[in-house]
Amino acid sequence: MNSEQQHWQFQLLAYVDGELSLAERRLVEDRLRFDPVAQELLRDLELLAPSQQEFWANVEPRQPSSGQWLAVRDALRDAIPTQPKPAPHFRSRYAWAILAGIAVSACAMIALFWPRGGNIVPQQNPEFVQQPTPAEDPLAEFAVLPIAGPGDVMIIAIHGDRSPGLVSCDHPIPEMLALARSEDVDIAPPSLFRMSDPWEISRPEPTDAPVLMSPREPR
Amino acid sequence: MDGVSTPTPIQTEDSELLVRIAQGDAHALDELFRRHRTTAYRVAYRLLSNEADALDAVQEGFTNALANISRFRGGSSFKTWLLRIVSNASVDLGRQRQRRDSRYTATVADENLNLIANQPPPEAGLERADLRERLKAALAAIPELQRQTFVLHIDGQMSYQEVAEALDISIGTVMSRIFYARKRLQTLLADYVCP
Repeated sequence: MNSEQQHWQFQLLAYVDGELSLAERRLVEDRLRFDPVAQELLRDLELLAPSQQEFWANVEPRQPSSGQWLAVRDALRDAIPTQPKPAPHFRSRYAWAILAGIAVSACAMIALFWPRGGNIVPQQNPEFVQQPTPAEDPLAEFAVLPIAGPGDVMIIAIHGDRSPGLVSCDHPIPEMLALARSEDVDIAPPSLFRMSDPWEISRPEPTDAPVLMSPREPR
Repeated sequence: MDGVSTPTPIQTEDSELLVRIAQGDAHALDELFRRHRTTAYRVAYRLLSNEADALDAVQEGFTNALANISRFRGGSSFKTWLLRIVSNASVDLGRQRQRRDSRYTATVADENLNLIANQPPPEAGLERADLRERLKAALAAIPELQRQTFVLHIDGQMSYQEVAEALDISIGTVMSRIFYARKRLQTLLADYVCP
């Protein structure tokens, strides 16, 4: 195939693909009118031309799903960096030097006065330290709370009671709880009672618990 | 009407999107991607014949195109610039796949030819999937340069001038490659493209 034939074939190709100018198209059409070989070649070249819309529609590849497109888009967003806005222009020639000096000074101050870690002992401010509340006094409601010690009470007998027990008086408690003394307690001698068992004088030991005195119901 | 293919000037809309993308506008990036992804995928798929690889090539193509947008001088359209990068990425990916896949040797092209030659004539109402497979095999049987040029013209819907700019070749070379590619494909698909 010589160059002229090749050129003619390429012109025919360009004609089929709509790549020729109006003048060039007219020249090709003039030759096609009288050249059967050119007509046959034209038919061949038209088979897979872009103008064969039906054929190319039938072989259109299946497009990715929306999810696949989103994945590609997200990867593209990650790959293309965001351009930050330009910083404001500093007119002063020494502005950056001044800023750098301030930054260095600030860093030095922080390094010098930053508290060392490890041995910090928290200081308690007594104003803010919560004082422990005293335990609730079970006898706080009593006006007086003396306790009779062993030396304060001498138990001789108990009125009308066979069992050894506490001395009673006529002062009700809790309205009045006084330190019981011997003269405060009227204890009848054992001889005045018809008791089957003799009384023993019971003297409280130092280790005895304090005695609370309470009225007894007369029997 | 003048049928001379002239270089398509840069589209105002694409150029505006590129400016906004440079400023960090994610919506502009999405719009540009949406506008050109279908064509880019069609080109990549036709060159690779594989959906997953085609998606990878599209992603790589867009990424490279936008990352190197400073090299885009605006003499051609962004679409031309993009499809050039996508087609090159597809070709590179195809070569990597060939090196990786030991089965994919030069004999595969012959196998494709045998596949096409030994198939019975298509019946009326040939399924699209089957026709796509036929075209896939036929494209694989033609030389790589012819295939790339042909695909950019047909699937990329690019004029001869745009293809020449994209591949940095002359229009005469474009026409030659397309001519011989089409002749070859016509022979391979004779039973399917008869008038």
